[in-house]
Amino acid sequence: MMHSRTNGLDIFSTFVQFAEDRFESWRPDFRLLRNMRAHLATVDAQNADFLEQEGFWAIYWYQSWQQQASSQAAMHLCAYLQEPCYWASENVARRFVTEQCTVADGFQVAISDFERILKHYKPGHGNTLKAYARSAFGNMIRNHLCQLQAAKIHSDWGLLRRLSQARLKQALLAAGFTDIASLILAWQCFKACCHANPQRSATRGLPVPNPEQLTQMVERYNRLRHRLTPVPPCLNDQALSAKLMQVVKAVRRYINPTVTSLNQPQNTVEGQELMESLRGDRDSPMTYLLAVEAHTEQQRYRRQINTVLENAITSLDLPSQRLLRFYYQENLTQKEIANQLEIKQYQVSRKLNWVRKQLLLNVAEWGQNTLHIPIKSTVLVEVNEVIHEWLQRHYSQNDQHDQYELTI
Amino acid sequence: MISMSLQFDICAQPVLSLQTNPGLWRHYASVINVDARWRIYIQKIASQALLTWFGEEFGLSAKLWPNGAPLDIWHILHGLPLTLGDKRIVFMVDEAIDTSELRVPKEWIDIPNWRADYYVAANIDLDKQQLLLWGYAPYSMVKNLGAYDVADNTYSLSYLDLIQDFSVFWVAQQLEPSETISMEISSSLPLAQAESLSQRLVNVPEPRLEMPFDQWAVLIRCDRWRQQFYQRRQGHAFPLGLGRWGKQLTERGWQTLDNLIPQAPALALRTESLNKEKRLSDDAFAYSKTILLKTSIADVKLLLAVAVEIQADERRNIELELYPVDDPLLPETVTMTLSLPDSDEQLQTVQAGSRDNYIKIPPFLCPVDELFRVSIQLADAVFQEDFVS
Repeated sequence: MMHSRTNGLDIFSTFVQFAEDRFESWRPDFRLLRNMRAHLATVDAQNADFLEQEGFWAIYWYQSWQQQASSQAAMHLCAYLQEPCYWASENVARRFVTEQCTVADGFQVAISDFERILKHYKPGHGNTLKAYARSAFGNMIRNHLCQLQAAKIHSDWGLLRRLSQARLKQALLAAGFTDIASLILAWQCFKACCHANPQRSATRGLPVPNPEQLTQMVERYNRLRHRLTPVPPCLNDQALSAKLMQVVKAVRRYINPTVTSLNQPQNTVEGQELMESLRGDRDSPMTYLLAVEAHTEQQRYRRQINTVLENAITSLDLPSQRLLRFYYQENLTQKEIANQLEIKQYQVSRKLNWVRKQLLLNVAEWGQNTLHIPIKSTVLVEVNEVIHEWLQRHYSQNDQHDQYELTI
Repeated sequence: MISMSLQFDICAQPVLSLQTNPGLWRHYASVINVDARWRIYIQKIASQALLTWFGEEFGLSAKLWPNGAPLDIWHILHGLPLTLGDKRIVFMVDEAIDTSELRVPKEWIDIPNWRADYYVAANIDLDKQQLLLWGYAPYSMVKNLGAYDVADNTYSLSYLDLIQDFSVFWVAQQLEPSETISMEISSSLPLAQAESLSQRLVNVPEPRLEMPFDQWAVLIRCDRWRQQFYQRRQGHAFPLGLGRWGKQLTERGWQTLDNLIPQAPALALRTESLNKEKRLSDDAFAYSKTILLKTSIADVKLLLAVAVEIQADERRNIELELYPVDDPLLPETVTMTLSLPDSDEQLQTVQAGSRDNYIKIPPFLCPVDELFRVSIQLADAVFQEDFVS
């Protein structure tokens, strides 16, 4: 079982080390460690309160990553996001027991994409990078699992129908193709012309395109290729068929990859990093001040939401409170909750949805009335992340799993 | 092995059960274009699940937009538009298993009175009979954050940008002001030009990608043109007019009853009484057409007869009958259905039993210029014809 890191130094400079699919230890990157230590010393002199606050440092590194595209800041954040990534993977593995994907596999799949999470995270309204990352990591891992499962039960051609275009593109890029646009067009033509017959067959067993379908695809391809720049050459049946086979191969390879360890600590031997860190980047005091401001704002907002939520929870009826405890504190699945309460699973999900909606409604209306925050989807989603994180923390204080070291 | 569905436990992403329906697939057999037929089938199955879900779970009545069965949109375009209260929502139903992106055709974003408040990413799994709603984005997000793909005129949003929690959706659709705008747009395209474009596009695989978007948008936002275009792509120049029957009927295989009687003995017996009852005159007509139903077992020839009588108030009294041609009896279970093509609503269905030598839809009165559809179905074979009274 993984133990959470407790001091700011470790949180931003150590990485999960697995041994045989299990958490083994926190492995430091000495260059990050040194850099973090230097930063902590600077801050210490100015304001000791911030010394141990991970929330502040998360904002600080996020802002310097954003402003200077600093790779060192990115690595600090990668170290920081190890925990949400691990918990997300552990959560998926626990809820969907599978031998296909261990906690370590899920972790590797998700953490290798952590920079995408940085790019898409939008700070504001008290939502933290950590909470956003945890749900995004969870989605990445579930996605990965779904695909592994699909790959197992689908024919090559059935599988092609079940990929999103974004996924397909990633597979083609990973396979090193350069004529991506024309391959995607070939795939689109395939999707337009070949599908299961609802009277007879399932998509999972979709057969090789027949000659008639191939002719239709070729006609389509040759007509639509003019929309691409540069215009790819005209294809005949054999050539299109060959192109699609390339796509099939790339997809199969992509979905069952050998997981490589990316973003592992690079400087694991003390002293090795010395030359590097000599030219270490010094951040301007401005970065620091901006982070202080953003952090103060975030904390203030979270304290306020905290009060609103405390009140909202207390005013819920007892069955609803019990439901939340089962789900967030005891970490039961909906099925388990249904068994405990002797109701149907869909009623659990309906009720949970209702409660979550009520909480969001409460906070949204409070925000609108007291802080004049407009009720918009983009704002609501941030507020909702705060609520979700709050619920997890609120109910997991006795539970080692989700003990987030969150400052409020 | 993974449990049934990975998403089941994430209550934030609703999983709807759906009913695949081979009968519905057969019903759309008349849609000539393969991918259009598939698209229509998928949208139809998904829309049934969605409408039921909105009703049962939330007591909300959602409606398909702009009418109950927008086949004239679906045959050219992907996307399932619903109206919920004062909000319009377009569901993008995808067969993907992964939840990586939302792709929305430009039409749903950039045609002003087509734009929606919300765009929902939905994954359909026909094998498992499930529809997963896994994320959504409001209009401004798709428009401003979406990556625009010129290859297929589509906006796409990464899953990391989508809102993947439907508690947010419920609160938003309840409290957020609507972003849709409805405005009257005068169709600025001259009829002759629309006609020639429609002619040019009738057989191309992806009409929406054949011309500059602005021009295309003018065409398809016009209901009348869009419906005509659908008919045309279906191989019908227009629905058959039953007013004063003329050349277009004979061009499309319809003949006066007399010419056909020798082929259908059962009809010969009936014709006499029909003639007596209707006293065929300038205001009463009876035409028929031989149709061939190719089922997977055999080819079956039948004869469809339509009798029309124009009333003094110009309303039409219409009667439909179906006869066997080569056999004395109709094949058992052959059905004749009267429906409205715009709404897919079935008005009346009759089915042959084991000893019927004809079946009929009883006479009905309808006003002038009413569009109706007659479908004949036997096993997996369907024949359809649209009429205007």
